[in-house]
This record gives sequence, C-alpha cells and structure tokens, in this order.
Amino acid sequence: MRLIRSAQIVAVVAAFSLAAACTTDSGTDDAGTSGIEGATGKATTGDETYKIGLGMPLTGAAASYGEEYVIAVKEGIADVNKEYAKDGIKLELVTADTQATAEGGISAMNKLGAVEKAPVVLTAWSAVVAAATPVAQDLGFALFNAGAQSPSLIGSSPNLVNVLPMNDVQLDNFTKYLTETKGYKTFATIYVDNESGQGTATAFKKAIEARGGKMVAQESIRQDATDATTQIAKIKDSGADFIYMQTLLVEGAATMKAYREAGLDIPIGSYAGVGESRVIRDAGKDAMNGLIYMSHIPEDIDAVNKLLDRMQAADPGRVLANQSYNGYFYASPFIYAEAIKELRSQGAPVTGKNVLAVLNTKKDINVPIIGAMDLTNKLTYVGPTIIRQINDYKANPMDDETIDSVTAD
Amino acid sequence: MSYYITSLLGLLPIFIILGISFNLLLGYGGLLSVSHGGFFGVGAYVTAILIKDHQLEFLPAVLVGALLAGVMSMSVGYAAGRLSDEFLFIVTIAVQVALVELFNNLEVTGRSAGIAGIPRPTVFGQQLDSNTKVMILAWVMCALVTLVCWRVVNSPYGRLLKSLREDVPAARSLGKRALWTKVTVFAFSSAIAGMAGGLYAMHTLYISPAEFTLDRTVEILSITIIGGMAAYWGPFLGALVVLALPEMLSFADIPDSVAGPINGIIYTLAVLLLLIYRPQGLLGRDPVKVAERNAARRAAKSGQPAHAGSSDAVPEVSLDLFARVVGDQETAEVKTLRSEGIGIAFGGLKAVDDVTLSVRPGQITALVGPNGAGKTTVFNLLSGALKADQGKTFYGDRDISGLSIERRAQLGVVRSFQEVRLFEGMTVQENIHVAVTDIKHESLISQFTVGAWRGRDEADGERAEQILRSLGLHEKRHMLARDLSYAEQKMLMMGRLLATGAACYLLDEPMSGLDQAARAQLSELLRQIVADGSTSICIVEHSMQVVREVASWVMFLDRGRLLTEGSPEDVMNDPELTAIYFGHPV
Amino acid sequence: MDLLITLIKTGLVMGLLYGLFAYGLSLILSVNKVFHVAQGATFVFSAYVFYTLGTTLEWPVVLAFLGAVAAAALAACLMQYLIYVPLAKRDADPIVVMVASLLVVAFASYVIEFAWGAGVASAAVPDWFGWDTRIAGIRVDVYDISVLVLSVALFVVMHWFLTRTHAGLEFRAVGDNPERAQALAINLDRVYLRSMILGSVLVVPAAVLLALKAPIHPSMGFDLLLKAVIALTIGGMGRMSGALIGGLLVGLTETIPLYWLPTEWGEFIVYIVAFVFVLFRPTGLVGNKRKPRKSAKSSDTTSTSDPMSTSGSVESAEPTPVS
Repeated sequence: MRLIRSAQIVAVVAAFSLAAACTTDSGTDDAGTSGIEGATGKATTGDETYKIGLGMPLTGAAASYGEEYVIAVKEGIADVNKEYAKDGIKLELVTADTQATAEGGISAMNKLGAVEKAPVVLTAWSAVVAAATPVAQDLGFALFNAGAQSPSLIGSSPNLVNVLPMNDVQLDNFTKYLTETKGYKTFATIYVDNESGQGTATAFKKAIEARGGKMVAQESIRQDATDATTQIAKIKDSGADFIYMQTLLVEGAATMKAYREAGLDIPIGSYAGVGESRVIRDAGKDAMNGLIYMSHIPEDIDAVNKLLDRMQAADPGRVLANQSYNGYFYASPFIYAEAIKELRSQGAPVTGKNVLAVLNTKKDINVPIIGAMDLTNKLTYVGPTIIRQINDYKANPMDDETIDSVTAD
Repeated sequence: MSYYITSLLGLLPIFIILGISFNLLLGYGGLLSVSHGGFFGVGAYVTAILIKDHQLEFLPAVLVGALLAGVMSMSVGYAAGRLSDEFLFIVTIAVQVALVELFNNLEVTGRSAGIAGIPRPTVFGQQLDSNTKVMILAWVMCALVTLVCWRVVNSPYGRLLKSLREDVPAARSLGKRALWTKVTVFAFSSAIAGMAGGLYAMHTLYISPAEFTLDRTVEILSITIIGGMAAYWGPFLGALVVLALPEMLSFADIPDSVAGPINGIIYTLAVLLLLIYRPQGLLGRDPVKVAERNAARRAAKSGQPAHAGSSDAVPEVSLDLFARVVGDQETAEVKTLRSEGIGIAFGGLKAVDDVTLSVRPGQITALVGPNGAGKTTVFNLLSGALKADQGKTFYGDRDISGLSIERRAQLGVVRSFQEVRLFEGMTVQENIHVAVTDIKHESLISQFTVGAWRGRDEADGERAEQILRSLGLHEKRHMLARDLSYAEQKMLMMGRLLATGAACYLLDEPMSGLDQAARAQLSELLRQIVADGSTSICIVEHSMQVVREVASWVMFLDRGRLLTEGSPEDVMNDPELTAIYFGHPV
Repeated sequence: MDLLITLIKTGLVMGLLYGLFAYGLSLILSVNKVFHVAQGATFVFSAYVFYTLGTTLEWPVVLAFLGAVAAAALAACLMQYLIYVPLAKRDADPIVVMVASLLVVAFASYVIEFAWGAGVASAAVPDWFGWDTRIAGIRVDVYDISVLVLSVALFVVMHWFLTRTHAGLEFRAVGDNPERAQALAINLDRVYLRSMILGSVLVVPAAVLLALKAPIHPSMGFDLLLKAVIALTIGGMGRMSGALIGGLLVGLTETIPLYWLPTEWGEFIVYIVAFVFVLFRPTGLVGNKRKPRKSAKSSDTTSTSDPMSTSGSVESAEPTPVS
C-alpha cells in the first residue's frame, strides 16, 4: 500500500512537470540584426581608446600557433593606430588564453567580455568559436573568427563574424577541380573528429555527390591521436581515386606518417592548415609531394609576403606556420576600426551590437592585404580561393605552386 | 567581475551535488565506483539534447536525464553486488571509458565536438536568461538534494548501506538483500549525478566528451575525500576547496601555462596526503573518538563509569526480560528445516555426501564430528551459502533448495559464523536495529512514505533497546561493536539473530572462545529460545561437555556422511564413534 | 583480405604491448597483493625520461633506455615508501589503497604536464628504427619485431626467474603465504620492494618502444593502464600467461571489429567486452580457481576445516599467487 501511495506521489509530480513542458521558445536573441542603437546623430570627436579582445591559445598544444597570430594582430593594431590616429581612434589589445579548447575559450571570453568589456573579441579554432558564441550573445560582444572554417559556423549566431573564407566556398571550387579537371570518381575522407572536421567532411561529401562523385570511405580520427594506420588501411581497401584530409596538426602528422608507411599512392588533398604545416610536411616527407590543398591566401601575395617578413623580424627565432591565415588576423583590427569610424560618425556608442549592425549593412569596407570586404551576407566573408600543390615538402609553403585559381561566384 | 563570481557560484552547487551523490556510494556504501563522471555526462547530454533539439522545459529534461543515468547505472550496481572491490573498480573504469567513447562516437551527442549553443533553460514557462538565475536554480536543486540525501542517509536504508559496507555475508545472513540494495544505491547516486549534469549543461552552455572523463571522476573523488568520506557536509567543503583552488592560484600571479598542472598537482597531492594521514578527510570524525565521546556523554548522564568494559566483561542476561522478548516474536506455524540427500563436491572431493537430516523445532540439535567432516559445509548448504549438487532442502513444506541466503533468512532460517562477523564499525544498538528492521521498510522508496514519517523507525529502535536490555548490553549500546569483549560480541551476535525474528537458528561453534560463565549464560539463552516449542536450533560443536549440557539430539558427521544420530548419551557412548572422533584407527 | 590481415597484425602487436604492460601489474598483484594502478605513472614517467635523455640531451638510444629503467626503479621505490608502506602501516582499507594508486597516476600526469608541457613530444628516432620490410604483403618494421621479440623474451626470462632462481621463489612464497614465508626468515619488506621495482621496470620496454613509434603525451599513462587492466582481467590474474593472453585478446578485440565498424568504435567494443567478461567470468580465462576471500578485518582467521568454506562470499574472487 505504501508503495502505491508513493508511486502516486511520484506520478503526480511527474505529470506536473510534464504539463509544464510545453514546447518553449528557444528564445534566440535576434537583436544582432537590428539597427544601430543609441545614435545621437552628432559625430563623436576627440580621441578615444577602444578595447579589442584576443582569445588565443597561449598555452597548451596549439600555443605556438596562437602566439604567431598574436604577432600578426599586434602588427595590425600598430598600423591601425597609425592610420586612424587622425580619426581619434586608438585600439588597445587585451588578451586571454583559450588553450584552443571549449572550456578555455569560455573562460577567456568571460574575461574579455565581462571583465575587460571589449566590444569586439577576435579568436580562432572551431571548438573555441562554437563554445564562445553563446557567451558572446549573453554578454553582447561581437565575436570575430579569423581561423575556423567549418561551414557549420556560417550564420550560427547573430554575434559571430567570419572574416575569412569558409570551407563551403573553398570546397565547392575544390570539388569542381577534382571532378571536372582531374576526373576523379570515387573519394575517401579522413577527418578529425571535432567541429571543423565533421563540418567540413559533411560539406565535402555533399559537394562531391552534387557533382556526381561517390564517397566510398569516411574515416574519423581523434584529435591528437598519434596512430592512423587503421584508418589508412581501410581507405586503401576502399579503392578510392582521391583522399581528402581535414585534420589538425598532431593527428595530421600521424595520418601522413601512416600514409607514407603504407606506401599509398592515392592522390591526396587537404586545406591550408595541413598543406602549410611544417609539422605535417616533415612527418609525411616525400609522401607530401604532390599533395594539393585549398588555400584562401589573399590574392595580394606580395602584401602577404611583406607581412610575413615583418612578423619574422618581430620574432626572428620563430618558424612561421600560418601563411594563409596571418593576413586575416592582421586585417581584423582594420575591420573593427572601420566600424568604429562609422559609429563615431553617427555619434553612436561603440558596443558589440552596434559593431555587428554596421557590419551587417556596410558593404564597402576596405582593409589592407585583403582589399574589399563585404560581410553583409550572414556576417561572413566570401573571397577568392586557390588550389596549391606541394612539389617539395621541404620548401617554404609560400613557394608552393598555384595550380588552379577559382573565384567565388 | 560579478559575472565571473556568479559563474563560480553557479558551479559550486553542481559540484556539491556531485560530491554528495558520490559520497553516498563511497563514504556510506563503501563502493568505489570510478564511473561517476560518465553518468554526470549522461545527464548533461540528455538534458542538453532535449532542451536544444526538442525544446523541452528544464525540469522534464533533467528528470529524463537523471532517469536514464540511473537506469544505465543499474548494470553497474548489479556488478557491484556480485564482485569484490578490485573487480568493481575495473568494471566501473570500463563503464566510464565506454560512456565517454559513446559520447565521442554518436551523432546525436555531436561526437567529439560535443553540443554547443545550448539555449538557456525554461522553468514553468519562464526562461532563465541570465547566469544569476541559473545559479539560483542550481542552489535550489542543491538544497533539495541535500535534504533528500540527508533523509536517506539517516534512515533505515542508510543503516542498511552501512551494514553492507561492513560485512556483506553477515547482512545477507540476516535476510538483507545485498544485491538489490547495491543496485538501488547505484541507481539513486547516478541519477543525482545525472541531475548535476543537466545543471552543468545549463551553466556552461557547451558540453563535450572531454568534460566527463576519468579526470572528472578523479576530481569528484577528490572532493569527497577532501571533505571526508561519510561526513555529510564533507562535499560542501570539498567542492569549495577544489573549485576555489584555481582561483586562488590566479591571484598568486602564476603564468597561465603552468596554472593548470599546478592546480592539478596541488589537489591530487592534498588528497594523497589526506588519504595517508587523515583518511576521514577534513570534516570526517574519527569513528573511535565519536563513539568514545558519545559513550562518555551517556555515562555522564546516567552516572555510570565512562570506560569501555574490560575485555573480560560478560554481559548479564536478564532472563525474564529475555523470555518476554522471545515471547513477543510472532509464532507462525511450526516448521522443520530438513534436507534430503544433499551433497556437494569440490574438485572431485565429496565434502558432503548424501546427508538427510532434520532440525526439529523445540530442540537444540548438535552437529558433531572430527575436523574436516564437513560440518560447516552442511551449514553452508542448509543456509544457502552453497548450492548443493544433489538433494533438496525443505523448510516446512517449502522446497528452499534454490533459494539464496537472504531469502532463506527472510523465511526464518538464519545462521551465525565462526568468526562472529558483527558490523564492527557500527554501534551495538545499530547492529540490532538493522536486524530488527523489516526489509520492506529498508527500501529507498519506503523512506519517503507516510509510514516513515510516523516514527516507524523509532519503534524499531525501541524494540532494539528492549532486546539489548534483556541481553545485558544496554549500557554499552553506543559503543562500537568492535570494542566489546569477546563474550559480549557473541551475545550481540545472538541478539542480532534474535532480532530478525527467525525460527530456525544454525549456530556455528557458538561457544568457542568463551569461558565457563559466559558459556552458561549462552546455554541458558539457547534453552529459552527453543522453550516455546516452535523454534529450532542446530549448533556445530566440538566440546562434548557443551553438547551434553545443551543438546537434546546429536548428529554425527564423518567425511561428509551422516553416520548416525541420536540422544547425546547414545552417540557419545558409542565406541566406534568415539574412535573416529579421537582419530583412533577403527 | 589485405585489410583484415593488416588489422590482425596491428591488433597482435598492440596486444603484445598491452601484455608487456600487464606483466608488471600481474607480478605486483601476486606478490604485494596491491592493484598497482600507479604503474601508469611509472610508464609515462619513464617514457618522458627516455625522451629527455635520448632527444633533448641526445644520448644514444641504449643509454637513454637504461636511464629510463633507472627512473622507473626510482619511481617504484618512491611509491613503495611514500604511499604503500605508510598506508599499510595504518591498516588502510584496500579501497583507500586503490584510490591512492589512482591518484598517483593523475598526480604524475600533472607533474609531467608541468615539467614538459601539455603538448605531444616526439622522440628522436634513430635511423635503423625506420627500416621496414614486407612479409606476405604486410608491412613489418623494427617496432613490430621489437615488440614481438621483447614480449617473448621477457616472458621466458620471467618464467625462468620465477621458477628457477632463489629470488623468484621467494617472490612466489611471499605471494602465496606471507606469514609462512616470514617464518622461513624471508624478509618481507625486501621482497615487496624488489617485486615493486621489478614489476615497474617491466613496463619500460613498452614505454620506450611507444616513444619511438609515436609522439608521447602526459595522459598516455591512463590510456594504456586501462587496456592493461582489461587485459589482465580477461586473461586472468596471477599468472604471467594471463597477461600475455589477455593482452592479445584486447589487441584483437580492438581491431578486428573495425573490419566492419567505423574506426572510432574499437575502444568502445573493448570496454563493453571487458564489462561483460568481468561480470560473468571475473577470474579470466586462465586465472586460478576461486579461493575464499580473506577479509581485511582485524580479528579474522578463517579457521575452517573445509577448503571451500566461503562464509557466504561465494561470488567474490581473489587474485591468487603466481603458479
């Protein structure tokens, strides 16, 4: 009897809570698409300093890459402060360590957004970006992504601005090249099992199938895994014409090592993060020769080289690794400065929401190295991409051969 | 700044809940389960998926999450009930890693990437759109969990857990359902961890497999140990220490690159040191000191000497009180425990061979025989500790051959062990109290029924005290069982069996190690027990003198076979049997 | 077919590695009666020492290996005298000892992260290590051969040691009946220390081979430890052959299903199989028959006359000595 009694109580409670479980509005804030708020109409004059936050891995496995980006950003800020001094704009950099992990990212975003109250925070790494967007929405700052290219990030949040070409456009061009120019029919993918890997693998499959190709193997590899022999063996068994690789550094090195050890001769391709990586190139050795990769390196190669020289001079001991990406990090402060300039002209406060509002509407933003940037379509930059080929893995990636260049439609 | 503190304050209740639930398992239940992080994750993922993809409100989502975690962990509980500590450890490690692999591999959990962009929770139609509101929700749930678990720990169920932690075979011999209890404590504890997981998902708005790995379990373990196992408020302190540590480090201006590992080094080191030098943690109290303090307090109240009795103390049985206690037992129908042709072999050696016997009610029967004859094995077969290869066992009309120890005990057949096997870390009164409590009133659910609130447990406590008074142990009732004298322990063991209200007692060498006075006491007790004609006792005994004094029927066992049975005089005057017994060649 | 053979080969080699790891665990378990989970710490520590000596300081491989052995022995001594002995002196619950052991692994991974950084470290690989050949179409390299040779060699040596040398017999005596061994004037403390050191040092070949094969990282202690524990469970504790057999089974269970399943499910399968195994056959495949569990309680001597008097704990299995 007591059992029935208590069961009744449990049932009532359950019913109560389920009754309250009407579908709720997931309540996404679409304030990001609203217009500029608080504009007084009277232009702001006088010199002011604006904070720009930078969330980078300063410790952990990806620290060396993070540090390189910090150098690029610092160069950009230095140039912005010179150029926009006459407009009364000065940028101040505040950094926080994300460790390239979601948990680290959230903590860094809290620090930059809530403590430092930066209106704009620049970051990279898909795990960080994915985790940071809710925080950005919560705290109201604009999140600039200059490194993560997974298509799933496009328009994923009203506070997210993707300032570099994303994989969807690159893949579109790449797959066109693979199917039409090279004539490959069957494909295999090996991808890192995280945000960017999954997103890109899915997009690649879609793009291939849209062009009549067939995906015969899809193998995932854990981030930081050190052994890829099984995945390579399975891909070899699948009989694919071409392998696409979307990984980060450690597992990328493992993949190329396994590829080389298995004596595979199936053509292989990837994206700039892999193609330009010294670590991966040295792991794959001569197996890397012939690897083709999509690159979103800005068209103005000379400007990129100049930037790289400057960065090398700032830190002579460093081996630069992110040739395709540095330019976008350098340019981001300029995007910010342009938005600030616009807001000042309207006498509006420089808040995250207002910056987003500007970027959503202003089509004619011009920045060094990249040139014209139009971020009005889902706050994402669409730019030309090229396909490069490694002929000598030992060479400087900037010297790789450009074999195809496709402009965005 | 306040966002940061709110965030920290929001995490604290979650870890307190985790610590409480883990403490229930390890501190109170004595079960080392290393899979807690995994079930924490199950709750987090289910809640996140239901809220994000299916737009459920928070409460139903977290309930489903907790439920799933609880159900999944029942398999682990089952393992716990059947395995020893090392193997449970291995099993729970396997489960932990398997769960993380699951999170890493399934599409629905977002694979390695996890689930990002979890929307803020809605409760009863209101969306909790700020960190502060979520924090308040977390503290409310923490308070609820604290209350519920407090009730559980201080209830008959909690007492049962303690007794299982002390000695599982002893508990089973009293009719306690060890396996089921372990399953339920696992389910309950993991469900709570799952609830914490749901809160966690709401707090961080992003979850990934990396947050629910073995490292997380070690963190939870540390919280419990730092605070103190089986110290109820331990997890509060432990969670505070573990969460506050990284914050304190950041004030010490340590570079970020080493802050993470330094944090880890400090707290693992702290836990290691605590384990060695202060295993009861920061808040736990040394059980011996607690017992002493309590004893001193009672003694001061009643003006008695505060010391624990000397090791020669013999309890003074109050026989008429005793008669009343025994008489109070419900006398059901009179049943006889008997076996028909039971036998068991170990690796080719027949330990018991075709034994047919009955233990007649109203009598004390003695089972005698030389060493190695198989007497204890017969007891094991009769009580259910071993399963017979051949033959059947009956109690009354019922065939109990297939029943487990606890089932037989519930039916009224109990046994004692050669090594007393008390619940040593529990007090004298608790030992009896556990035995007195009906298993129906010990289940988790029954702790929350109306009867529970109406002082049912207090009534049982009263009865326990009554039994203690009649056995002369009442003054020592707050002492730990391990601190009693040997004679007192034996008496307590008898009291425990009596408290179950059994009607058939199998006592394995009950008189061993007792001096003349104590033996006399115990013998008188045994005689009283069978006096009503419906209870039966069978003892394994080596001393012929005791057999003569106490038993009215003797069964002689040699090399696994029942050679003969009869009155004590007949059996003991038989020259052949004497020869066998003393080892002379026949 | 090629794929299947590759998978089998990978599984066998990995399995032998797990077996190598599990040897030490098995030895320490039978002699010291301690579930030396902290072996994971010794493992990762010796891998990093090898890396430092061989790569950072550029010592020759053999010297670096010896240095790693010394480091493992040192770690074993520290663990024995700083953790196990104090706990034993205080009559600690076996659970407490296991928890402490587990914490040592966590502690070690943090220390290593502090000293060497959280990222992966690639040891310098001598040229001769890169040699490979093809046997029956399958690639076999120095790593594969080393693993095979080392496990067989170690197995043979350990067997000889335990059955033919005085020290080895001491080990077995202590493992079987410590009180009796002490009565025979065997110094228990010395034997415990020796077996801890020997068991720990057995793990160094596995550590060094792995360091040469792939980059090492601070948390690799946990990963391999778990597999070795599973190997020991499936194979059966107490006997050295159990470690080997268990290791092979784990290695194969990890790879063969991948012929049909996606790669990421390999680990999951292993752990589920382990779970089922422990539940239904906790003594493993070649483990010894169950003996009554000696309870840890102070006053107990199960002074029964019957060998199988289990006092109710029928279902608990206890690790039994090396035979």
